[in-house]
Amino acid sequence: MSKQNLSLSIEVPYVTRVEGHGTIVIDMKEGKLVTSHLEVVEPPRYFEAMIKGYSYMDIALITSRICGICSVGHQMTSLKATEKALGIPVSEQTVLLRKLLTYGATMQSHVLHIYFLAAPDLLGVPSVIPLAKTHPDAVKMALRMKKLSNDICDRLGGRTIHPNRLVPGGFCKLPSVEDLKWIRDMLVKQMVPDAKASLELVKSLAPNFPAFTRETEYVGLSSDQEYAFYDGKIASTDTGEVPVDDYLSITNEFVVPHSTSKHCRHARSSYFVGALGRLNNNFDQLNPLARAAADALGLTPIVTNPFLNTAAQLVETFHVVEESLKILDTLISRGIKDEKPAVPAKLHEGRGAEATEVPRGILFHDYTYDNRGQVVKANCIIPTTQNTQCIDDDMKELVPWMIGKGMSKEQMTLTLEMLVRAYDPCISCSVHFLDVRFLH
Amino acid sequence: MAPRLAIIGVGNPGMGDDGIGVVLVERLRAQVQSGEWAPEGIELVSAGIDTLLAGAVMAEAPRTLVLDSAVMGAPAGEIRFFSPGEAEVGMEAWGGTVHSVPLSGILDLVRGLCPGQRLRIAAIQPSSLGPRDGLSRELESRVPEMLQKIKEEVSLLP
Repeated sequence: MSKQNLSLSIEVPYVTRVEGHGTIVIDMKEGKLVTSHLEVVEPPRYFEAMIKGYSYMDIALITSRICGICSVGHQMTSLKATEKALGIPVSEQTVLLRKLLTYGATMQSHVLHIYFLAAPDLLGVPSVIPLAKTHPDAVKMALRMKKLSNDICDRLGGRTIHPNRLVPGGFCKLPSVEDLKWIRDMLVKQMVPDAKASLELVKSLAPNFPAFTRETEYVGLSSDQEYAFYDGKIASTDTGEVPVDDYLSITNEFVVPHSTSKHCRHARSSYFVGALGRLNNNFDQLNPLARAAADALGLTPIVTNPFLNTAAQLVETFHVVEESLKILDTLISRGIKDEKPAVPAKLHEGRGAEATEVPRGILFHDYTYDNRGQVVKANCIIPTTQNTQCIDDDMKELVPWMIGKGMSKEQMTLTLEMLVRAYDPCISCSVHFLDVRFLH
Repeated sequence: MAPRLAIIGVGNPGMGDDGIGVVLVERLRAQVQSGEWAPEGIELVSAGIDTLLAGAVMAEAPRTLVLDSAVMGAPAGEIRFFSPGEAEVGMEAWGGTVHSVPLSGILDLVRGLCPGQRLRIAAIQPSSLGPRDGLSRELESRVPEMLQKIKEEVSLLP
């Protein structure tokens, strides 16, 4: 297919194997790309308005319902923002347990995406179901990994999703040392070998990732202490670091006619968040097994192929397993102290903006409280909102790239779907609404 | 000792009678904890809407009984037991999302993975489906009868 004078129309009205509803629209007339974007058609969720007037004790439980996959990340970010606003201190033990839970949730989501959402594309089948016959051991392994990461979240947070033990200032119920020993044992016996087998599988499929690259800005949390998931500053591969309090200078949300999700831009027309956003900013802080996995997959920053976000997720799976083992060793040797959740010394007005890395990228929650500890204003900016413009920008270059490769319309359609899936988008969660005030 | 049978409750308890599978598993669990029911080698799992968790348990267990609500034109609260080959479980072309994998998709997946897997489904006719915590009065009143039938079914399984 030649680009010159080409007219092409592609519409994928319901992109499968992603969360939520999005439509890919490509329109090329006489060799000129007129339209190339992802239309997000989900209605707004109104969570920021919903929590106005609620007590600081309720906010994390409500906002965790923004997403069933990133519920742990929403709780963490929400709790941190509330604690910052109201000056609630948390103990080192609380931070370690929260990090452990964050890592468990990251495993849970990454395994789900790698095996159940992305792998079918790499193996040329429409879903994971046919893989039960062709790759039964891999599918059993994926189910096993998913179940173990569910069990980790259950033992730490009280539930596999929407954990109910986390409250401002700490935990209302702490896991036992036996729980921690069980998790450690299962990570060593099961998760590490399964992750290694997954690496071999993904390595064998690496040639099936489209070799498309596009330079862009990569954004993620960054810390001097570690490969940042729980805390840090906001890092950009283009402009360096800024404190989380300045997050609005990064996100710069704007609206587009084709999407109910807002879009974001910073130093360029768009930026990328997610596993590649983190990897490209924090590569030197990967743990040894994760670094070896990155080397085996040929990932060296700056990785500019968006399809390799899935490979970066596997690297991160190794990293969070190794970090979890370190934390578990510390907590098991110290024992679990029976700490009661900290409370604010005195309720007062305050604002707190915080960020956490959730599987799909950096997540911001920002709350303003009144002197009764009730929310008066809130803002939540989730990773997919930040990625939607980047997906559109990728499509603008991907379409001519595919035409140059002589792909058929069917191949192009599949590759566009693979691109959207590579971002592992949470489309429903990306939809929050503008606060509009009429002046007249 | 590995369980001989996994009993898995699926459905959304926040959607009224859709959560009957989960409710039944929790009531069975309470009976086991109180000593009212003492079966050997049974694992009780509340999978809820996490059908991948249900799949993971099915893939490991030699025999599975799945409890779920099913619209089958029967009186509300009626429970029917069948194996996948004995009934058509509707399944449209499926790609799956991160939030939802239909049970029918998981059953297909497990049948492909474990051809020897002995799977039974206990389908319960709901009275009303919709956003609501808890069961309808019609279903709640028939829960003891459902529990009895499930225990009878379990006792017949080797």
